[in-house]
Amino acid sequence: MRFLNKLLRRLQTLARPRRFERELDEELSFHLEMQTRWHESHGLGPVEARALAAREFGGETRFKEAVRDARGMSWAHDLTRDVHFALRSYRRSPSFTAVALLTLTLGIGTTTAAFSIIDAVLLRPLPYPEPERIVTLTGNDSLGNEIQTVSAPNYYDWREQSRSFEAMALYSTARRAVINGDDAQHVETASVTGDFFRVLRIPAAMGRTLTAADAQGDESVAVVSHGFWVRALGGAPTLPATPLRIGNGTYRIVGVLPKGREFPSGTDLFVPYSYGNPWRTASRNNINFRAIGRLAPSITLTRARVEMRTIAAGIHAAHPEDLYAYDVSVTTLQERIVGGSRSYLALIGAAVAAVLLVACANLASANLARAEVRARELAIRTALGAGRMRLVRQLLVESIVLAVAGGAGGVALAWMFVRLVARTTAIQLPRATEIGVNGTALAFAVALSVLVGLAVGLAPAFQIGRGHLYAVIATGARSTATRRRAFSRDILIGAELALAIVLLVAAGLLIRSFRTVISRDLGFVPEGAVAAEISLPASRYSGSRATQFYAETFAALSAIPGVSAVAETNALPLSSGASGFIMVEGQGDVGAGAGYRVVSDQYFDAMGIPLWKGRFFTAADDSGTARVTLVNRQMAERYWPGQDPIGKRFKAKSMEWKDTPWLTVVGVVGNVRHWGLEQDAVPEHFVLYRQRPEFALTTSIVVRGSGDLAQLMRAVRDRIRSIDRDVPVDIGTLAARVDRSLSERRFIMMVLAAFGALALVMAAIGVYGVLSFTVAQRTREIAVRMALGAERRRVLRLVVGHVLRVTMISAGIGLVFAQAVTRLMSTLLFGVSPTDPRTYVVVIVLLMGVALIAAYIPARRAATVDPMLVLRGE
Amino acid sequence: MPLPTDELLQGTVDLLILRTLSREPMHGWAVSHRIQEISRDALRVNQGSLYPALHRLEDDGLVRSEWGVSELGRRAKFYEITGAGKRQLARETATWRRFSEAIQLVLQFA
Repeated sequence: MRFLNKLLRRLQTLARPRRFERELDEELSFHLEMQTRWHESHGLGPVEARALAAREFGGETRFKEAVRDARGMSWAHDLTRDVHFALRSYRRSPSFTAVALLTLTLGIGTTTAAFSIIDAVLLRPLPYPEPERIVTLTGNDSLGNEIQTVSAPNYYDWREQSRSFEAMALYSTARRAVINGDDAQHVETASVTGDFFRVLRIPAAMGRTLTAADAQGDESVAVVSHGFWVRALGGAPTLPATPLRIGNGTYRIVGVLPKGREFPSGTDLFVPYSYGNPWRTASRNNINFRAIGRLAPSITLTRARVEMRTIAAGIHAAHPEDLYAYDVSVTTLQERIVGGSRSYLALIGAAVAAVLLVACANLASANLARAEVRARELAIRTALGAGRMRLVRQLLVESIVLAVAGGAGGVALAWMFVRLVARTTAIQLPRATEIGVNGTALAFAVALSVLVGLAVGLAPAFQIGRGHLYAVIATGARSTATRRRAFSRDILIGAELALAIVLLVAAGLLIRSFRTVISRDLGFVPEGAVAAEISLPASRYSGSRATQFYAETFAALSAIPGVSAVAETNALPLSSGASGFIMVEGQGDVGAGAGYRVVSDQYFDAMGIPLWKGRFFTAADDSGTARVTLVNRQMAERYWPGQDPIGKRFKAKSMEWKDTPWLTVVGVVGNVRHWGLEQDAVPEHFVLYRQRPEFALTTSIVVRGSGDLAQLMRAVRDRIRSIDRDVPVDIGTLAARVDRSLSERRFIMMVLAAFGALALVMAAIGVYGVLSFTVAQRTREIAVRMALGAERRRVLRLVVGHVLRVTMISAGIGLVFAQAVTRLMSTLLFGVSPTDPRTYVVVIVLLMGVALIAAYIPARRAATVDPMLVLRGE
Repeated sequence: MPLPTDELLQGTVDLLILRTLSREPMHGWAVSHRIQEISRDALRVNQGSLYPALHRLEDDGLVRSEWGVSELGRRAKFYEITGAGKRQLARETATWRRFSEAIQLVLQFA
């Protein structure tokens, strides 16, 4: 407390140095006047009195300095002088300053950007009150797989039987058609139960959120996200009076959420389930919902887990037909949202730290060299009476000034990086809207800058006063401690090279993983096809009306010149898709068995999926005829190994709402990597949409055609809109879809590759700089050697050989570290071992090459030294 | 013959100043004058010690200052002892007494 008061008083004084000086002058002149008066009152004349007082007063400057000292003012005074001196000395060596500033800006910029992102995504709690109490509840099937969606009856049992929760809610999301004025668009909509906003405790920014009463009310109401309010409603200051048409109904907007607070992220509309207890009596295998809960105050996660496990066991005993909730998982919402991004964010964080270390090592070695050049200047200042501490402080101030300037540049750079990352579509970071360079990040950047300044300045500061003063002044710059300094420079260069190796190996492994991934067979032909996501308003397209819409649409699209196939599917590869339990005739229940897709006749032609056996769907397969299905090869091999699958029957239990008819296999098609290039194909079966019209409301229409795809996309959109202008159409090429599925992997690879390249360039600059300096220092020695008969080649070998030795040693150390680091990133690698020898060899060759080039230029300069010129010049 | 306070221990000057200010707030000149007067000219705290000491005491929070109007009708900086200053004075006075008694004893009986 006393210390704090003192600090405050000092800061008050320091903040107004002019005022302090003025008051000090006034105080002293008052003293002088009092003393003069006093002498006058004792009989002296005014002139003598003043003279005597002044004499008694003594050396004014000296004790003013003592007063300043007492106030900590002189410290600030010296600091200003040091800063001025530092600036002057940097102006004198502009190229050193430019390289150093650039290095620091890059180092601090990338580190601050990475910190901002990691802080916003991983470290900061979710922006809801007491976020640690918000959890998600998910089921586990008999095999122990986590099933993220739950059934409504199970949810209601959990809610009624558990005591650990303050509130629990169910929600489901869907893309729905919203008609706003003339425009029909897709909007992510969440249907929620009454306690949804009690669980999250999101207060409304305007109006109110939804409550349990809304579900029972006669009027349909909705809450919108801040983004939707700005984008679609123009950010009006009052809630709109006209209701919004969403899908099959109209909704009155009763509230707007605060910016960036919506959950699930990207959801624009929140509506209550239109019936109080959604699917209360539905099958326990109908798992279309997600459950969240808020733990009651004092209940720990573990306690909630234990309770839920008991409840799940009870439900399972009472309902053996329940396939998806043998057990319940309770996970914090934060973990659920950000858990998946932890491994690559940690990798990026580590890479950034390595880049920063390289930058520091680079600067420290440059600073060491500079200190040696300045040895004479420093020695003279010592001789003139500057204390060692004074010079150390001077050097530290110099490097902190540099680091702070670099830090300012770094913050600007970080700001740019962070904006780029938050806006890019290349990677879907969770909580992207919360990312920004905020106060914490600024404090981090400032602390980092000062730390870097100290670290970089310390090396030369330590060496002050080590050499012999007279020797330095007498012989010019050639100090006696050269060998030791050369050694510390080698260590720094070696560290740079080793770190560069670690980064390059990590980047190399990711590049190889990427190449392995993209060389895999997708199982369909993305080129030459476009896909349009559409959704039909449920109110107008019940039953056969949807079938009729597709018949019209297929006819209209097939008429576009160059189109060879048109089809629809409920689940396009690389997007989403349901899978379910199946029961194979003669084998009984086989558990979580196969993905099911609802498609139209030409689907396999439109996608380019080959037929292996049997037949495709035909016009003869219809709603009234026998239920048929096609399976992929994976499914055929899994369930009918060594047999002919044609004619075999199975039931898709979770696909059906009511009865489960037998499906007869009529054909086998090729495998598709439905869940992405990195995944293996899963068993899948396909049914015809005419036999399952319930699944035909939100679908993708695939059109294969020749010619310009952009033109094809326009034509497809226009023709669908001309059939029903209330149907929103999101269209893109299949190739773009494949590309997007690779974006996260590509992004991480590019970031690592960029960091690796950056580290390599910095290391090369470091090698070049240090060697140029060494050569300049040793010009005389080289000249003597050459005068005594050394060949130019030998001189070249001397210099380059040294660098080679340093590179070899650091390559060895770097490889050891790389092995340890790459093991940590094994989840990000694909089809390549963390110790992949090819990557290691390529990296070492690359590094050697770069180091040699960096060394060659100064080495050549050394070899072309003219001994006579140099020796005479001395 | 006045004793030059330069040679006194720094702590002693602080003690004298605190004691002087403990009666009433006064400006720097008055402090030095009062010390000189009370000590019958034996102690003279010159400006070179006085002002650094005053500022140091203020920096430590033992006195506080305020600009007021002096007897000359001119602006002057008045110093006033703080609570912490009074406690410090009590402690220092006790220490000084014990110290001077000890010296007395040694000078008398050693």
